[in-house]
Amino acid sequence: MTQPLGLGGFEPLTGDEDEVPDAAVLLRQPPPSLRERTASRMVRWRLRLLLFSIAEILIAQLLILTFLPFDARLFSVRLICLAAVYLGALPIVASLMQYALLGFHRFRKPYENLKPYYPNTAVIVPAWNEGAVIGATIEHLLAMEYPEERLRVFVVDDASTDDTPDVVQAKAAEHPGRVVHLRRERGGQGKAHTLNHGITQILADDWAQALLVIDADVLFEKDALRKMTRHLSNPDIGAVTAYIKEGSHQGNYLTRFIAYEYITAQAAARRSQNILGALACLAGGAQLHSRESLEAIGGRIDTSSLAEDTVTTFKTQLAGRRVEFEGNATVWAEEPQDLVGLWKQRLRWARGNVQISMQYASVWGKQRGQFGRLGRAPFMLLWLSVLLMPLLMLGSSAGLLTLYFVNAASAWAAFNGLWLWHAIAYVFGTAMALAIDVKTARRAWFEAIMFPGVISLLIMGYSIFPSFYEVDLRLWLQHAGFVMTPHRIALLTVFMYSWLFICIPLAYLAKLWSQTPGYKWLAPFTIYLVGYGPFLCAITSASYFKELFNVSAAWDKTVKTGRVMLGAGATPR
Amino acid sequence: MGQDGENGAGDARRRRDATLAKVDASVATLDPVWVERFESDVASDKANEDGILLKAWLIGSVVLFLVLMQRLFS
Repeated sequence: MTQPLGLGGFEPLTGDEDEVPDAAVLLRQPPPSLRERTASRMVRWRLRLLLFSIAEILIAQLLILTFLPFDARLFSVRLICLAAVYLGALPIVASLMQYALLGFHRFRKPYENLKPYYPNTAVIVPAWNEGAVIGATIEHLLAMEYPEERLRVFVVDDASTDDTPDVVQAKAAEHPGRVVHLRRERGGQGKAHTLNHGITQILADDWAQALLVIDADVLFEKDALRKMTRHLSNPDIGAVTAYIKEGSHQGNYLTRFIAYEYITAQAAARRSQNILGALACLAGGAQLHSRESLEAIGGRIDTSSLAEDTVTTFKTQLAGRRVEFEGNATVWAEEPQDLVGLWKQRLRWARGNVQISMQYASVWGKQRGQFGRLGRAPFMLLWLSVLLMPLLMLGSSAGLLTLYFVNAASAWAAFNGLWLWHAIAYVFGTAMALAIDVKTARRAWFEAIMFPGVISLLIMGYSIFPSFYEVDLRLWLQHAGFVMTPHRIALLTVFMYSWLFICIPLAYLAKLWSQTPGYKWLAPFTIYLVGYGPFLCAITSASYFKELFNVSAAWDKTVKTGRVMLGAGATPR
Repeated sequence: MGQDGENGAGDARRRRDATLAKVDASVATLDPVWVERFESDVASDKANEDGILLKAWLIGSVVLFLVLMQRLFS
């Protein structure tokens, strides 16, 4: 037994997850290690190679087509276009699979062989200028229903310049032995570095049997930690994550969209990933690691990527341990209330995902050995359908438009089929998501319905009820003085066929509006009209360009104001 | 090579047994109130998962029915 963790035995420190260092902090940052620079360079080269290969295939196709007889050329173009359109259906297949799997989650018997395991748990709270929220976070952590002697809170203060150190030291004095203040005098390197500072010191002592990594602004439900630790009684499980819910008590349209998004991306997606046996990501705000698992991956968090949570998740699984999502352990987090903040946060996540996809390129398609279930087709489908969604949408639109000029009947059949499946996935997914988290549904039902945007909903309606649109609506418009001439019909058709792609730049407009004085009111209007989903696709598209051109990535801090509240999701609209 | 594999499997088994022993030791020293809370959690979470299962199958069936109707009457 080394020195007991508790009071004063550590160099005070600092840090938090997502923060932007100021110029002075940047200047004193150590340069990235050779390993980190090499990994980053490899990712960029792989990405360029991938794009080059795609371009090469397209050019080869064009050359082949040039030398074919006219009829064969038309036939080939038609086949290629149909393939492009139906590749665009991959996200639909992934979505349907995800929600269909939910019906089987209970059959996994996730609670059958668990034991009442309450390991000694060290909670690591990275904090950089979190004076507004850190006190409440510590109090909530200590108030969790968990054996008092088995829980300690370590705040890793990443050279905060506000009153964070004072608040934490006051809490440490108030709860001797239960709250520890670790301070880094040189901070600003990002969450992973801050966490590593704390992890190193915690692992140097043998008290901790589990480490809970959280964000400074999250609030755990009283039973959340014990619902997570029970899974560590299964030696095959190395890490557990919880259901993060949007918890702003004074939210707006955007927080309601995020609240709904988290049902789909966490409560639903991660349950289905439990069934597949491979989890995409341990939520940064609530990841519990067994000591053995963390030590098996080197006892530190990867610092070479913008998505250190996902790298840790992949490493844990590749080291042979399972990662579990506990959907009944709820953690509340404060999320951005404006599009610029959301863009910054999600761009970092999206860039991290691009980096990881390249970094772990050797995993994809491998089904045996150390790659476990991470490389299998179902998980790949879920992962890649999100990562490649903008490209798939572009391909689908391009295919439909080309088909329209080559063979209009085929284009209509492909369009109708594609959007009908969109509609089925939308109805099934929305109903399922709202049903699995009724409390959030009370608050965000309207945003759930509007998630794809009004225009997409109208197109889905057209694919379901074509005769209503073509006969009844047309007559009604005619009575209203708007005649649908062939020219207008052609324009409308081209618009609908290209919508899957043009919704992405149009969604980007919402961000521009939100930054333009006098036009800010247009931002929510654009989101409802074009869709929140396309806005996320716009972010993913931006991540491609940022990674491709190696635009520098700073740790943009998501400003936390302490608006988060336990049970905020229960507040109806 | 084969021996390495056996050694690896043996190590994994030993690690697993050690973890289980540690868990059992931890559980043995636990106040009974925490065991009761664990059992109560498991019961409520099982009920929640059962609810999700029922909803999933119900919604799936309704959507399937609607799709069939759409195909029949369009």
